[in-house]
Amino acid sequence: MESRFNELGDIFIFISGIILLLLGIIFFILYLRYKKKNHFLIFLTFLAAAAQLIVRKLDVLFPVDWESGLPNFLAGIFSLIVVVLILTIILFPDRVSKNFEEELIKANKNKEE
Amino acid sequence: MFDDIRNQIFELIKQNPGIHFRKLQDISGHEVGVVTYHTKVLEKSKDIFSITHKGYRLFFEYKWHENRDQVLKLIGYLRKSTPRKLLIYLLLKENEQRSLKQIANDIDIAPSTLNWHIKRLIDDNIIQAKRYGRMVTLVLTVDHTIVRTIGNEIFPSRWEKFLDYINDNFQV
Repeated sequence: MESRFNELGDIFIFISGIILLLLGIIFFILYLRYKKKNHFLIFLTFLAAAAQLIVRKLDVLFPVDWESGLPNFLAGIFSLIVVVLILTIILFPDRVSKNFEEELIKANKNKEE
Repeated sequence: MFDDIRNQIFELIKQNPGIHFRKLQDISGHEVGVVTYHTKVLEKSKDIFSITHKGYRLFFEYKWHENRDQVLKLIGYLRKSTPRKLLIYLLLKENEQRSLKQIANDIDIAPSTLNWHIKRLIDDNIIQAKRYGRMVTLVLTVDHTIVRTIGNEIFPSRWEKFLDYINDNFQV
């Protein structure tokens, strides 16, 4: 029973990792299309989140010494990166200023000069 | 005879800057080979030039050559849903002065999203902001015929529309 739960858990983690990677790719394409800084940060966030999930399943790909705690350490690092990136996106949104109309007129004048 | 065909093709390109090869062939009513030959001759004699964009070959009278970079940027914007909507709106309402708020309302886009696109369009010299009294409105800086012709030739793909949907509805 326990091993069946483990298997199901692995499948869910694997699917989540793939979805996160796909979302990451979409945001990377969006970054290439619009050159918006926050699209790139979201791409990195998804990538780090996918890495965080995958790193726990490293033993499937390579023989990993679980007792060294390295996979756990790496997963922790990636989790921290995800949190920092999410905070950056929330704290520094890519918004236009309140004096937008004045800025536009100024941009025109600069071009004419 | 040859000169007549060449003149006809040249006139068509002159009247429709940014015309696509197939459309040129359709309107002129000549075979592909004939149109290819004459456009090549016209390109060699620097009467016209062409821009190839994702398999589309668009023809322009040579006088537009100095605006080539601007035209390339315009093509890029016409492949993006929101800037495309805005450019076509400005083209249709060229004699009406509308505030940014009214424009956002008319094309059904959140003002913040629209402002973000406007900033980039102004930076690339595709549109210009003008002040009328207390109101700031937008006007096209690129030739209207070019926007009209290329707007009828180039559209965002389904995938590009999906990306634009995410960008416009997921403000970060």
